[in-house]
Amino acid sequence: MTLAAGVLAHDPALAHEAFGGGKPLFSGAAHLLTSPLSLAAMVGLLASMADAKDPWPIIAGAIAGTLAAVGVMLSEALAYWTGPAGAILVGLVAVAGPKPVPWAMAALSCAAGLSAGSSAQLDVPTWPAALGAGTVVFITTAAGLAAFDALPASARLQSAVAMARRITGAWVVAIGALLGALAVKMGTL
Amino acid sequence: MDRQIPDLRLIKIFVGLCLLSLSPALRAHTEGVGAGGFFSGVMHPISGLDHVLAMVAVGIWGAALGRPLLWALPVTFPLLMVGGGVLGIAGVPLPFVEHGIAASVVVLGLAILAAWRAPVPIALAVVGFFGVLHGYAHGLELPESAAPAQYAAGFVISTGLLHLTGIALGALHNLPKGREVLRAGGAAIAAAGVWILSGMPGVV
Repeated sequence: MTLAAGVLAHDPALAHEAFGGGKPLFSGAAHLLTSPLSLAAMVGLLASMADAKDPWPIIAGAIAGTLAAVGVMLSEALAYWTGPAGAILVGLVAVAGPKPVPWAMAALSCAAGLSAGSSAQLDVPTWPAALGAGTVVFITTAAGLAAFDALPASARLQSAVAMARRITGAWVVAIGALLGALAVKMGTL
Repeated sequence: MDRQIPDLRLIKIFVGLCLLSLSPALRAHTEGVGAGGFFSGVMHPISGLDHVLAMVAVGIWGAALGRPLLWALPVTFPLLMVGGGVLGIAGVPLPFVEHGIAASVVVLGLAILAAWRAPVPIALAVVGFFGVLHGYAHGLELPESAAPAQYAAGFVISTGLLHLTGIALGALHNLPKGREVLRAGGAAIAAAGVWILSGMPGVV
């Protein structure tokens, strides 16, 4: 991952200028990474599922990634409040900090993925772009949750993580609600 | 003491994410970093002394009160701030908002100075009320900004980071003489709040 990030950080990795045939794929990823609401949904998912244990990082990543790709393709058809609603949901769950339950984790992954994908704001949604967005959500979710799972079992660290996820969840709710209010006022995101 | 050696994989992931954040690909939407965008949102709470002092004071007070208010205050503030932000976006008139924001600096400063062990519901109500006022001020400016989504994300993150700064400062509480230092800081915050309030029209 470090190597991949280093390669992406290199100058030629311009989202709208390079990669030739891979441009839509990269464009989908870049749009998702520059949308505050998409990022909020992804961060909210990580905060709400920080207690998830193996194999849930992969399962949640796969579900969220798939729904993100679907969200990109259906962004025109979905209600404009879909994105904010998903972010608010995962944020509130992170604030509440419940114990992980399989069906709830699957539902959260669906909501966050759909929210992230539908908020990516691609001008012309295409399947390659949706694939790019879905891949970013998959990698971020799976790697993030795996990192939480790999944290040392220090009581102090676990306590700090529990506190941080609640605070982060509140930020996610705030961003989702504010952008939802803006969407209602303007009729679109 | 359970000192743990950091996992090498975590360090790799952290370094990878840091490098990824430098990617020029993230410059795809340049409107988000210009006027009215993300950095304008980040700068809005930081550029006003009243906002900075109130946010940091929330963190310090939470740290001084301990769990659960250590995290409950920084959670309550943005949740209620959103309520105020929505009122601002909707254009609902709310009187004396700027006076209320200045008063929040005074009240929170005094709470730290007096080491007020407020009951949990009272502390949440105080912080939540002031959160509404701060959010209203931010919300009023949102629709006028060039990139409101980025602006909103910026000021929420900035507000949260100021809370965390306050919590970090509040850790002095556990050091020798730390309580006295924090109470002196509370006095300084309250004094600054009085100074801000005195400069407002119709106050003096």
